[in-house]
Amino acid sequence: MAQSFNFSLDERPINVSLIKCSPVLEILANELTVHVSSVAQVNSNCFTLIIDGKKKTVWWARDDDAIYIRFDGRTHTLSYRDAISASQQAGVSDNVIKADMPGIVVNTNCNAGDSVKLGDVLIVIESMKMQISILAPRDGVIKEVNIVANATFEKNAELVSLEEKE
Amino acid sequence: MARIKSIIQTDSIEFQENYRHNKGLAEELKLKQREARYDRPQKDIDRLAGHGKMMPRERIEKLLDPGTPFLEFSTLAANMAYKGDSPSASCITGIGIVNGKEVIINANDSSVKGGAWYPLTVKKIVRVLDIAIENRLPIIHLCDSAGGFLPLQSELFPDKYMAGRMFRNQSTLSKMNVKQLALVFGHCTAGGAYVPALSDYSVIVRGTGAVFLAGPPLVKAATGEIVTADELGGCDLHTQVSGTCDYPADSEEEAIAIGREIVEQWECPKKWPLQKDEVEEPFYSADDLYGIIPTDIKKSFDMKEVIARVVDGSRFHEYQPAYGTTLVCGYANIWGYKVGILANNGVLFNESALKGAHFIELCNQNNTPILFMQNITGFMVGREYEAKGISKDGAKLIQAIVGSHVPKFTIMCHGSFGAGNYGMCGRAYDPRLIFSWPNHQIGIMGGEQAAKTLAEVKLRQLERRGETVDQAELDKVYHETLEAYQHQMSAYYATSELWDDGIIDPTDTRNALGIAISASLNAPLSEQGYGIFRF
Amino acid sequence: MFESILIANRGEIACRVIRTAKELGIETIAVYHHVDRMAPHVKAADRSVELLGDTPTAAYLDIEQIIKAANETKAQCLHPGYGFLSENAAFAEAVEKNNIVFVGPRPEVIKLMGDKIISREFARKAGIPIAPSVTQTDDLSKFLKEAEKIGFPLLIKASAGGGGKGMSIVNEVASLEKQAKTAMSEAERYFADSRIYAELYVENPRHIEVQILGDGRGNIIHAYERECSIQRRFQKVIEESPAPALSVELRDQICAAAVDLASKAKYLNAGTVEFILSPDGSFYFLEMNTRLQVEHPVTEMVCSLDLVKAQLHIAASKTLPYKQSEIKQSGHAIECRICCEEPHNDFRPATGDIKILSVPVASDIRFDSGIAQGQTISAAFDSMIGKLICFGEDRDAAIKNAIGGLNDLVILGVSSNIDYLGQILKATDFKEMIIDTGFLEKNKATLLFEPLSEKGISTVATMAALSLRDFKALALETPEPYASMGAWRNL
Repeated sequence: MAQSFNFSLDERPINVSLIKCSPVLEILANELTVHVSSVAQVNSNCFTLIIDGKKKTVWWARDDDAIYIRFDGRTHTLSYRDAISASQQAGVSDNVIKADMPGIVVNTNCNAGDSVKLGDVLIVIESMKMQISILAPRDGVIKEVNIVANATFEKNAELVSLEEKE
Repeated sequence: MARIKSIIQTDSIEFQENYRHNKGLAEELKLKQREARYDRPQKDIDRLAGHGKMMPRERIEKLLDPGTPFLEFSTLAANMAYKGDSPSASCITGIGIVNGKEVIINANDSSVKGGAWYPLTVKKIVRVLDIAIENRLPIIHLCDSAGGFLPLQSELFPDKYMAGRMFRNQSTLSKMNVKQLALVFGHCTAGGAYVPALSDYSVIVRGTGAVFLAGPPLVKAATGEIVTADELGGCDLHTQVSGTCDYPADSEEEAIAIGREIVEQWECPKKWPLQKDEVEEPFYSADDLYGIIPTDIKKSFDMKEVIARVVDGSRFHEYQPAYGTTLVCGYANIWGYKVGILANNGVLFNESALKGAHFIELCNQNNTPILFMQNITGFMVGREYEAKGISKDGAKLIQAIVGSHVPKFTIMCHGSFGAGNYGMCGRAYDPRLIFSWPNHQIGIMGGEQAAKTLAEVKLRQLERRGETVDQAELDKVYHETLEAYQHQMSAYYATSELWDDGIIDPTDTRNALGIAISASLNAPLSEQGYGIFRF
Repeated sequence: MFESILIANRGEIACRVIRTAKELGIETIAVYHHVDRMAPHVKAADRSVELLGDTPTAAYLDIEQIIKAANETKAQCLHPGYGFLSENAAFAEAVEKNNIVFVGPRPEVIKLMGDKIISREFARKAGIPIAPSVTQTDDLSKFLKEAEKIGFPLLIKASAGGGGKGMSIVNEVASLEKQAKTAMSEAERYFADSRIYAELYVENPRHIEVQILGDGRGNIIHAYERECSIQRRFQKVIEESPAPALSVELRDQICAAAVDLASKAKYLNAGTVEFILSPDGSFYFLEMNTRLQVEHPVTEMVCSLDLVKAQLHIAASKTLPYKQSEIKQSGHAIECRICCEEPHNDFRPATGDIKILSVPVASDIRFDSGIAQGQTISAAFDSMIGKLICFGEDRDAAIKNAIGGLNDLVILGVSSNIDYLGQILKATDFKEMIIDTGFLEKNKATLLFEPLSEKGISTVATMAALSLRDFKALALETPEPYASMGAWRNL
């Protein structure tokens, strides 16, 4: 029930949680108890530890959801998701992109049915003498583009909408 | 420091009888606590699951650092009230660890009548906010409550220490720079809306979380406006429009993760530097406590045997070992922390009271927290002792306690009767935390004593009126009084009424105190100062 | 010696050439495509010129742009590295036409050795043993008939081929025609030249090659042999020098044959003559590579040479830098080719960012690479990103050193064959010198890791958790008394 860290290895889910921190670390991983001590940082991506009585040097790297772990001449790839989703922190809640301020459309770069990727420039608007790119808030498909170049719009106008997430 | 030499014979018949009795009490406690914590009608469990909600204890477990303790307060609050309709007084409070920092948890229990506040709920929440204030502990509110339980509003709303006190305490905490975080999992209705509003940080779960002064039914009644809970005070309204809440979350898990990350940003607490030595497990097993505590409230036992099973290495530096011996005083360490201990080994005489008062002053001089271990029938009575000034000596003990600037803690080990409760830092004397053992009894006097006294009064009444003395009637007075006392003297009654911060298994005493002491160090020592002692 | 050099290549070989050029005080000029603008070879060079191209590969194959870059930077010589334009006679010609010295053989020799059929014919005339073979003529049925006479198994190769493309082994007459036709169409597709030939397939063959250096006037010295039998689909994976379990007599014969061939071709600069060695001790000419080989470092290690330095010396002076008697072979060297691929996924090429790169540092270990931490590995180039070359007093010591070196070579973020290479070196057959070009196929089962045990999964997951900042903070920074108290509850 306690907070646990959820990984998957070859598509198999694996939970890791802490049982006790002292005098040695007791960790419950894959439903087995693992004893760890003498964790020491070698550099930012390498540490040594004594795990179940054996000393190991571990190299690791993180690439988005992937964690690479290498020790004993063997590399393992796990996946891990942070508990807080990135879209959540940005406060993206729906599929409609609204104007934060009134302005005029400089140009549109997308059409209904287009596949877009997170960060793609969907439209460029001008407001208060500044050009602002409206970016795709996530990967998805454009449902509707509600404005055309040179059109003016008010605050909260619905500029572009995305299809519902699968 | 020398180790206490235990002379308990663990193979004696008495030890074994005590053990069976007290172990039984501990089992009974565990059972009652389990019921209060987990036994819920299936329909309530299903209702929460249907809303995608976790059970409140699940939320707490996920919020706390794994592999760290949680000291829960007053699990059995309200256990003898409202016909058992409000287990744990419908809320969960305690000290836990989040990102390595001690925090107070205040969680509504929405698995009980929608988390509605009963009078004892309010008392328990006000108390935990007091604990936060006294110890300067940051507090995390896990909000999911329908608001005040309306049928009992007169007992929870109007008075000084009722509902308004919660928000007064929250504001006080804010004034003291003590951080507050609200995680809004469900509704925060009416007064409840102020819990997140008065918090420094708040996270709200999209879809289920809502904050409003009046819920949809009340709004409809008042203005005719028809509106859903989400439209009225949901996540998007409060995080995008009103600014009442700070962080939106898509799920309870995410809200908890965001909450943990918020706590991670908080500065490390600056604790005052209490003398700390290397931690040593007690030499004698805490399990022996079951065999030491007598089965009968009238039987005495040596409190040093108890101390030996609570303190580090069973080591104890006894102060004035030969003077006023009914009050054991001395220094020890618990989880490494230096403490001064006052423990009863019999009735308080003039010498014991003076010794205790002096020792309390020494602890204050030395900035050492004080632990009171109560097993007290009271101060010695009789002409001789009155003549020696037992009242003014007892007064000095009370004054020394009240004048203390160091944290105080009290364990109700067995009996706590009459003025002895005052002289040993009872609830009224602001111990930072006070815990009872399941065998504990409390009252203005012992039950038999009271029954005898009242039967005696009745007899004199009858005699004065010249009526015939009916022994059966006297017996009735005796037994009714005894029964009433026994009911109200029990640890369960005391904890139901929140006279303590919870009943603990005697073997848990050391851990509970470790957490209590560690947490107490967050609040700086107050100014020293005593009143006028009558000599 | 030259004052400036343009390196018409990228990656590890560009870095390799730049290193020696710098030691010799020669100004180095790199060329690069936009995707390589932050690449180590660009950073290592004194100057660099951007090449434009629709694809990165197209840029590095653009003769016109490279010549222009060399002219504009007033490069005195040009080193082609390996791959790309290194064996392109037209390129060598264009370089010379612009009065830039081409660090390599004459264009005619490149052309001669570049054609499998013509080069085999040249070798035959030179008296070098070649495997019984038949060349395809216009009459396919006649070719098939003659091929059948050689016997099976047969090896069909593209005349213009290389890198294993258009190559196949024919085991029986029934499939001969079909495979010949497939090979022809593949040859047409890859090399725009459908000519093929068939030769006797030597069973359980070893691949032995000889490093030679020539002055262009017929004087040739050799720097002994390399064994390159550990191959996957005709691609070398591990090379070593000297060849294990090769008698001195046989070695000398092979080296003599190589020198003989190169001498007859009046070979200029560094080259490699490749042979197939049969278990019965007979050997046959395979082909000649007219450039510096990927695996040249093993020769450098056992012969204490710098082959790039020798190349530049020859290019500048048209004389040989050493006498044959000065070249001594001592110790043993092993090279492991580090490729971004997925060994457990049929060696599919892998792409991604190199998040972490850590290289073993020791006097007897060399890591030649053109990669840096943070670099993106794309599908645009060859999957080989570097080479780990390890030395030892003898073969066992070299193996041990290489196993340790691979263990300490950390590339994370993109899948690589490092662990697989370690498994090869640990294989019993490798240690016991039971080696031929079928080694990897024969030992397939033992070379891939077994699935992790339940406990192994726990160990890996624990390590992964400890790599997370949040978990580490909880595990290691929980204050006392809470760390010691554990998950106590007042139950």
